[in-house]
Amino acid sequence: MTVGLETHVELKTDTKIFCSCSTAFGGEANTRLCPVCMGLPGALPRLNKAVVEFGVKAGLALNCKISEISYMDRKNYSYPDLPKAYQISQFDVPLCQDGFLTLSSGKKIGIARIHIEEDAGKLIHRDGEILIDYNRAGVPLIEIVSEPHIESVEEAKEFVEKLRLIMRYIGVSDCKMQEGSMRCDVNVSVSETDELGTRCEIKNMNSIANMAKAIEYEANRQQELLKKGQTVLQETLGFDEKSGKTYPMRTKEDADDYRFFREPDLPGVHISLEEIENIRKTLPELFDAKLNRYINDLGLEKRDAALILKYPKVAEFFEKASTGVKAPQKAANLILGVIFAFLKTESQKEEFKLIISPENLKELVLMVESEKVSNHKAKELLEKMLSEGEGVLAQDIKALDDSELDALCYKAIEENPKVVSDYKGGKEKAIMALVGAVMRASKGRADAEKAKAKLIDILK
Amino acid sequence: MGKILKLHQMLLRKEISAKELTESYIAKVNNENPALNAYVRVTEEKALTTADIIDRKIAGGLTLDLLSGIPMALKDNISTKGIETSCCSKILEGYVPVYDATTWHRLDEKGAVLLGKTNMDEFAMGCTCETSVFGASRNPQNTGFVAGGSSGGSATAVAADLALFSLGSDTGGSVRQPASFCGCVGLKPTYGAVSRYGLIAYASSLDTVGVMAQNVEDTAVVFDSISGFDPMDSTSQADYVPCTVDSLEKSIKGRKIGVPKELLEKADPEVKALLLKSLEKYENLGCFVEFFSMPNLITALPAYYIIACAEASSNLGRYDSVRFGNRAESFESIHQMICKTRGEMFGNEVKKRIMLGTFVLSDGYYDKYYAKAQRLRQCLMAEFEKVFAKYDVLITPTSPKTAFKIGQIQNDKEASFNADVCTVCANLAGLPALSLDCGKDEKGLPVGLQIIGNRFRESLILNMARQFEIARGTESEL
Amino acid sequence: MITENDVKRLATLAKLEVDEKEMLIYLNEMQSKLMIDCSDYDFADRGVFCPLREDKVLPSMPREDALSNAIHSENGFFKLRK
Repeated sequence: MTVGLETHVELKTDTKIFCSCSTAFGGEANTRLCPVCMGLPGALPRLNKAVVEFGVKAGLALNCKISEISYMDRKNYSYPDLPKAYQISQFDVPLCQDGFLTLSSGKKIGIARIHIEEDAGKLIHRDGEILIDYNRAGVPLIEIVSEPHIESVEEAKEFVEKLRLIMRYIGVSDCKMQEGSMRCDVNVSVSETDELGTRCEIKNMNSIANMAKAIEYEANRQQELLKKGQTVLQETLGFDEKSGKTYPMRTKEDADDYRFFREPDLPGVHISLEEIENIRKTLPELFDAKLNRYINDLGLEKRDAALILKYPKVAEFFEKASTGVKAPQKAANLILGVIFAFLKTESQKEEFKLIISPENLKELVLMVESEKVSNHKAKELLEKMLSEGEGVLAQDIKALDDSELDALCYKAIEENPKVVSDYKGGKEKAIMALVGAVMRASKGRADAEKAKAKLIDILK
Repeated sequence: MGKILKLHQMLLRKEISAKELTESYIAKVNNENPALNAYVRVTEEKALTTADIIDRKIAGGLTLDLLSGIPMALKDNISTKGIETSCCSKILEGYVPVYDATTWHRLDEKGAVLLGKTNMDEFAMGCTCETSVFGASRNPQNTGFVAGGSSGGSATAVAADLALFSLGSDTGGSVRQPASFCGCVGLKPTYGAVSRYGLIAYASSLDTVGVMAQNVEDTAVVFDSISGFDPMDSTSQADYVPCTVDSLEKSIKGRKIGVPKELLEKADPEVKALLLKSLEKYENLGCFVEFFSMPNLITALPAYYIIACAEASSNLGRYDSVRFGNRAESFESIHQMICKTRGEMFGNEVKKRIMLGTFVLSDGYYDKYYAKAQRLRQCLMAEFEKVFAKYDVLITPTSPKTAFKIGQIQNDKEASFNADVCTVCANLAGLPALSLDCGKDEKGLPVGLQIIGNRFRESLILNMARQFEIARGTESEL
Repeated sequence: MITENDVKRLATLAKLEVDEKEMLIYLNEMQSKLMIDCSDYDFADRGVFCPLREDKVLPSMPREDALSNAIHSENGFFKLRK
């Protein structure tokens, strides 16, 4: 099978692409509008600088060539959610071209192009009626088009998951498929030969799981047709979650002829090599670089690194908690073992809201490294801290285990035979020397009264 | 001296109040508009309110802008907040904009008095003003003849002194041609000199907001007031702050005038004769006149049609009654609602141009028509660069003919197609151009002389126009 | 030559109810009138580029304004009857 993906990513700029209305999520219907995004007669678009910058960031993160001059074009079609009856997009000279995304196998999936465009409004279908909210009209999108290099469902899943993470790490989008800030259309074809087969487009995948099912189903469906000697029709399909099948979408009266032409209201988009370089410099560490660094420099297990990197906020926390520690793997273990058990759901892990700071975790790790606490103790402490806060560290570390106290007392006795014989010979104050020894050995954590009582008890 | 400056001084000296001035114009409008059909909407209340504010400013000794208290009109495709703006089309009947066009806003801030919205060809598509849903505007020189189009109502209003000036729109000649038919001054600015924000679009890369006034100085004053960078329009030119009034009286001795033979040849004999006479006047003023050939000016016409209709077909896609505008009565689906609404509410000329525009952009035809037209446009612009290295301005007839009789052009496809042959090149190349009266034909209908300049050379054009106006004499002035 | 089917297709794209016979004649007339002969020409960009706007939120228009010209609306939504 061959799979190509067209992914729409909503950019998290503050304002829409062609006007200064807010892009904030939610808000009552039709309260984030102005003449421009509503497409009122006479209104004209004004391009948002940040949209171009975010587009360039996305292009750089996907190893694309950035076009110093690119053009906006009109894509003409009529639909109630499209205020102007055309979408301002980019047709033949997009912002970014010829990039790639590398899968864990090392295989490079080509990125044909990335272009900027505007989103449409939202339709709500009710019995016999349609309600329309244009708040989303004009929200900026980038469309990322892959080359047809994906050859399995697994690769498709990995591609989308990785693409999602890359976009989140460079901060251009939250990429929440359930909220619609990331949408995929999938092109699937099968072929026995080197030539590509007829492809069908499955639209509006709302989750990676559904996308995987859809690809699986569609590839099989096409395979079956070819086995029977039938041809695959080029169709636009939808995916029915319940039945797990693809189905042909109601074809419009005519195949859409978008009649692309240069947007006359917007001159060419120019970005200099210097500006592109400056944007490159502001890019945070990219996903692949992070992964490599976690594994090679920080010594993390591959699986642990991937799991931490799955959540940008977790990664951020981990990095702060592990700077300056000898074994970042310990920090990883605590996060993955204890904190992840505490934050049970996916969204909790995404949010990663804790009452402790990365510095608190770092302190704990340092204590384990300096053998102040055992691994086991550290886990206990962390569990407590997650509910009670950093204060736990302050109190609890002072107190020693009974067993630890015992051990130190016996050690003190063993190491100070003269003092012991003095005490046994009637010098009661000699016990204090032993207490002192225990205090020194425990670096002040022992409770002096307890130690004294224990020593007396042992020497009876 | 122009009328606006004169009236401005009279207002300052309290020789007349803004209220009196406005009332006198409203009375004239109420009296004469029924026969002339210049205005489609009179905004009496708003006009008097503005006049009142101006009078109080004068009483308070506050500084007054040149345009304060000056009665004016706006073509009905310029958005006016709270005032119906219909493009003289059924589909926008009752549409009330919630924002002001930048050009109107600038005039409003200066205290200009809006008397009303003027008649136009529907969606600015036409050259006689007869496609308006309100019927044609009449030529004040002879009401059996058209006012021209598409800014016919504005031309009539200004020429009949039912307004001191008006803003119109010029996409293929729509300010200059009616100005030439009615005998007033019409200025099309450089593309990018005047904001298009709020101008209801016909063809986005060709549309401009133009000025129509009774004399050159008034035209200059208004142009200076509305032009200049607007951040709301991404095609508006940064750093352009014209002050054309200051250059009006400069000597034009030594100026080089180019006359494209092809356009002169297209003109009717009477028009041609008057143009040649006008060129003599320029020579007497010390200018050098040279005839030259520029065949692409003729090819410009089909290129204009293709580009204008293509952009129009896209710009008019939004009129589907979903968010605004009129709607058909009965339909069985949303698709049908839209098709029927547009079918019933758009006039025939508009529908033709939408179909043509859709055709030239469609799959399989784009390269043959639209792409070629854009290439020709680039050729034309390159040629103009060379031409303006040689000449200061070009002079041509504004229109090959004088005003048509009412109803004449419906049956004359050739005349209709070729009506804009002299004017479209300025729109295609984004150049400024002005039309002013240079005489009358045997029927007593005005003949327009067109001055075309290089981009952002409005000062020079107005200067050349002003000097001609003086030489021509005041008997032709209104 | 433009055919009746072409006219139907164009009318559907343009979402326009038209007199198909009239349009057929008109379009066929125009298609020959609008033939242009223009050789290829190498154009340099004029050097005028799109101004870029700061990403700063400005107040949107009040909802009443947005809905003020709508024929049907409900609870702040534009409404269409299917």
